[in-house]
Amino acid sequence: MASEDEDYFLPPEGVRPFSSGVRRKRVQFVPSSNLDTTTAPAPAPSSSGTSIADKYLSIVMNQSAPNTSPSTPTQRAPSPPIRTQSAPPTQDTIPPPPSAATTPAAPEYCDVCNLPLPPQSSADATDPKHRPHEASLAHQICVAHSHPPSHLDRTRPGLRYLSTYGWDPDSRLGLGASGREGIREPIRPRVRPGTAGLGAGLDEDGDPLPPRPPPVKVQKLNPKEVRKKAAEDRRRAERIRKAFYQNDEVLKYLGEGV
Amino acid sequence: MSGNRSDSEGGARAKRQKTDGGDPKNNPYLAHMYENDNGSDNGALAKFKRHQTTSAMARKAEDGDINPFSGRPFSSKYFSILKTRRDLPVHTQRDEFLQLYQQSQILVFVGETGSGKTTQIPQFVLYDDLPQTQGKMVACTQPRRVAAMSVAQRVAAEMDVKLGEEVGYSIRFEDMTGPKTIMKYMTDGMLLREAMNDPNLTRYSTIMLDEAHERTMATDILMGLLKEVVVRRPDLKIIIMSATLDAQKFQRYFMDAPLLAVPGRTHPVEIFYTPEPEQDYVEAAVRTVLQIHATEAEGDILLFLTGEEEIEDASRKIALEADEMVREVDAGPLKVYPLYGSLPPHMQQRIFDPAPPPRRPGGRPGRKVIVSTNIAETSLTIDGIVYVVDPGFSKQKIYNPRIRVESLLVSPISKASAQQRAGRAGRTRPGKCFRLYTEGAFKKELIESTYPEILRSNLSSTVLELKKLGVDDLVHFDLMDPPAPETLMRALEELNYLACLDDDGNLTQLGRLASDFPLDPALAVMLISSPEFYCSNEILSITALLSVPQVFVRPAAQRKRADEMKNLFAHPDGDHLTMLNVYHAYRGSDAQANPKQWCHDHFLSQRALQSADNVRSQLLRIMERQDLEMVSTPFEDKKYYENIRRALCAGFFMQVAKKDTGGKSQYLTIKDNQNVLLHPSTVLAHEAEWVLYNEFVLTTKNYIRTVTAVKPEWLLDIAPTYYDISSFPKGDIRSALTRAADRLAHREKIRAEKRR
Repeated sequence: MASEDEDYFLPPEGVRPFSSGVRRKRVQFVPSSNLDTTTAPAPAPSSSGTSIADKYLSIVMNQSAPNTSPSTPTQRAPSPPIRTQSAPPTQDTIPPPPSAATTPAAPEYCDVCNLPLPPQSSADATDPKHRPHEASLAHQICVAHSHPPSHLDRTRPGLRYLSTYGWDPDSRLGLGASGREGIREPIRPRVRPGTAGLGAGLDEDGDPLPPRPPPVKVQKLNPKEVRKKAAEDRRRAERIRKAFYQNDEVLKYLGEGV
Repeated sequence: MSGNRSDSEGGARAKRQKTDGGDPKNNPYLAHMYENDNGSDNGALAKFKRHQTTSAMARKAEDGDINPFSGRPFSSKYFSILKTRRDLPVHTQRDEFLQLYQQSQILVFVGETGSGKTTQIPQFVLYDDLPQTQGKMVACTQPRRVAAMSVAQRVAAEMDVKLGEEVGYSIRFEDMTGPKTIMKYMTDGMLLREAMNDPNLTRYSTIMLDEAHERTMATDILMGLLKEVVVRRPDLKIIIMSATLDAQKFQRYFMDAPLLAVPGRTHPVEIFYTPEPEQDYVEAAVRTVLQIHATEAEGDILLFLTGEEEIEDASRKIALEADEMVREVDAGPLKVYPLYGSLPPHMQQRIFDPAPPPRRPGGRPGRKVIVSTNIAETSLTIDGIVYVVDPGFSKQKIYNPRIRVESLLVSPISKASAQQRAGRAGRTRPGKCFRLYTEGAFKKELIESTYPEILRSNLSSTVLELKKLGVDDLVHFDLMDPPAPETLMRALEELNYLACLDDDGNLTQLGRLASDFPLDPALAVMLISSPEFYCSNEILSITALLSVPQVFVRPAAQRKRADEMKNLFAHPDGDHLTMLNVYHAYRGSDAQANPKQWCHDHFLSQRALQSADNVRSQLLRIMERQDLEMVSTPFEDKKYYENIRRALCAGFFMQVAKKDTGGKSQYLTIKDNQNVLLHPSTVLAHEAEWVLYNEFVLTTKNYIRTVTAVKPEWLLDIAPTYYDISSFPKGDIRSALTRAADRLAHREKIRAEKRR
């Protein structure tokens, strides 16, 4: 009931959604030196409008084609949540149309965060310091993230009952009439030790202070124990002195050690 | 005019006759014989039209000579009470109230404690709703039994009728109403139970939910139900009465019902905080009280602490220190009164004693200090309080569905609570409130308002009630604060294990039966299955004893003596059986000769035993109604106690712990795997391998209280689905259960061979 199940009571919204930050930290790639060995994208199997357009563009602007492929993971529109994304796997390998290439003059606005897109030039993509717009903090904040599924055991009969009445454990909604949903996690009991006042043991920001060391107990020793303790203290002092002041040359001079 | 006026209202009359059961007074031809005490709907109320009256009309009726409800002349005491009643704040807004009441089906009424809402509003309603003409009643719910009783008593006096006739009350295990009753005070739990058998609450024309701000479980469920009932019954009127300012929440919940607020008579309260957090709030509270006594002007002090032990301890300290102050610095006398729920009523009454006078004429004035739990926060009004000391804590029940433990924990109060506490200082004149925490802590540490009970409780009995009420869709049931899904899931699963719900979540026959008992489902199931174990008499007694406060008294000064006395009754196999021994002894002729003395000598609470007796007879009535057999194993039979222990398993098989192989006297709860210790109060003589417990006490150490030794074979036999060995992880508990199952099978085999 103590700190070890701290996570257990963490409401799912407190857990960082999977993949947050993944797109911001780019894995760096360099284009292959041998153009012929590039595998997938060139012969696009599907004949959809976009892929043909892509192919056309890659022919027309052939110097930008190899450059865009490394940055595919970041240029992909990140708006749909991962879980619901049901796009065919082929799309991943096809570079999306480089939108900036068409009309570089008029600034375009991002669909997700409504901020102007920076003009895209092919040179930027290879620059390791360049961060695509999708990796900017403003954009990432606006992206709808997918959430991890609820921790509830799906085999529980209680869950089955609630599910038959339409409650989805992954919906991140509590029970109750729609629009007035209740809490999602039970209230956590907290045992307060002793009679510490409200706010005691917390600093000004409300964060817990490290616990005070317990007061040292006064021990009563009998003469034998006193003697033993004195000897122990002496030994310890000797050890410390050696550790700090021992000098090999002095030792050599004295003929000790070695 | 005479009583036969109501004859014109044919349908309603017929209903009324049914309740009156052919009383000759209702016979119009005999009306002349009852000239002076004829039926209840005549005289001053004759010209009243339902829902069209005004305060002036009611005032005239109230000022008349004849009581319009009982037909008897008003007594002189009535008029003296009437005068004080008219001074209450709610009276100034009677017309306003009536208008809103007449216009709207649901009304939210806000009045601070002391505005007179609990006693006056129901009477305003009576004069306008005239339930007697409809053969119906007006109900007013209270969260606490004591409040329902005392308010009913007060209102009966105000209306100059006998308690139990026109005005009555109904609480669990006690019904004080009669056929004439038109005004019924009741606990919210009672109204909920009535709804189980009468889903439309047809007996009532108006229902008032008082103290709704306390948000008890029953009030919350009732609000959800009433929201549905008002649609089905357009003639039913609802008044939600609350003492605090979050009334908008009620308004929003009830489809923007109109709101009427009556200001209380309050004075400004100055609030003080400590500059630094206190290391020990009890000590700081004691010091603050003494400081106030030494430096502040006349006026009584109210100190809020959390529990009985803490309160008694602080009271003692304050009294000691105050005596010293009197001797040394000639301070005024200081009287200390503790106040908590389990205190006997006559001790509770003492808080209303006036403060002590100065020790000599012209000396420094005396003062009283009331050291109380949060019952003095809303439910009790004590005049004369000028200083409030608030450490910011109260004991709160909290339920953790993950380990199925309900515990009382000292927790920080809410901002709303803190304001309420401060308000107690301004009842008679401007006051001061000393908060033993920093202003920063008030803003950051305290939640806005206290969590309603429904979020903090085990819901198994609530779910059973809802199922009985026909609410199957627990997901979309419109509660003001729906509970956490996990808590509800846990309740459904517990009820399933108890066989109150089948695997599809439908109410079973057993569940329907169990819902008739005003008990926890586990207790109800235990009671219902007890005839199978030939011990329903004994289990009934144990159930009654578990439903009342602790029977053993252990005063701090005489602990040793009390423990010796308890050992007289001890049964080596556990506390349940010990309690049963106590009850049997109490019912014996020795004890009944002078029960008060006997209880005192044996350190037992006579109050608890008496109420256990009362609860037992009430439950007995339900059992007889359900055709449950009352049987006992003969006492000489060596299976007498074993049968009882088996029957206990039938209800409490989910509350079992097994001794841990590692630590000494360490136990591990089954399935939830919590490390627990036996509570030091147990009488269990031997180190039992398996114990069943009634209560899990969560403190810095975990204790199980009221334990009885059981055998794993019984558990496997009685609750095979819960003790399905394959569902247990490999380990000590699983192997112990497997061994027990083998023993069972072996015994079965031998028995089968013998039979051949």
